[in-house]
Amino acid sequence: MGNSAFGVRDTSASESEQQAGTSTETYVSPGQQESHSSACKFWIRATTTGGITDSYNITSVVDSGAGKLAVTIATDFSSATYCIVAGIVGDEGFGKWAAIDATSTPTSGTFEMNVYSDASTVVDANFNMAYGFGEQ
Amino acid sequence: MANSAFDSPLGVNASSASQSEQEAATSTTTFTSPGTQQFHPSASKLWLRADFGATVSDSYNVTSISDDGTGKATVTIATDFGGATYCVAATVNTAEGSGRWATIDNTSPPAAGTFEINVYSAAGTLADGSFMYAVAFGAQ
Repeated sequence: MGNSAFGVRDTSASESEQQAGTSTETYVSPGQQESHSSACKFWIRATTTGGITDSYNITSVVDSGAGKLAVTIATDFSSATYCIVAGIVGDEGFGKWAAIDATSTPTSGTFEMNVYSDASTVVDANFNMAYGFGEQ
Repeated sequence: MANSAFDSPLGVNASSASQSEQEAATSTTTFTSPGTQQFHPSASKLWLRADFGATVSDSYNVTSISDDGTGKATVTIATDFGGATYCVAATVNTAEGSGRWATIDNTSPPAAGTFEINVYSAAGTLADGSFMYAVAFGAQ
């Protein structure tokens, strides 16, 4: 441990210490909190035309067709195997749901979200939401 | 989990927050450490990406997945939740146009250490996709 503003024996947790998730002798700083495995790495709420209404760690969203949104992450993951959970805001009585597109396979910095109707066609919803977890 | 103490402006013997302190989320005299950050209610307790052959390609706090049949997979959690009322959500990665969606099975209801993901076609029948994702929140 090195000197820090907290005293002479303490230090803030590094990215690798956060990813290991075991140390109880370093403190978590706001600048490294997101590096812990339990932390959400991005989240987004966007319109069907790619307008971002709120987000964390997202660069942009592109409307790539009816029910299709391509999301670009700001600080990429270290691989393409991260976890993405998605949902929608839709009108009552319209059975729609979200999935992650396997045809445009997720990369470390991008993924495409598809919204379906109960007829299995790709359709727009009112708003689209997604969350990502993994290692950056 | 034992606390570790060191000098800090929080106090001469400021210590790392315990699991219960993280879960209570009220202390301003202890510090969050990498070893206990995940106990805060805002932190996810598990996440995973797996295929439909029960191969886990990436995960956090997951021991294993079993393939229970078409569109069905049971997830075994490494460090269990404190009860079975935790929040879990799942999404499927599937080819465009295939219309798959994921739910959590209530016929085999979630337990503190396990839950089953079901994936359906648009016709409402169990069906495989390319990958499944899940994330969960709750107290351990």
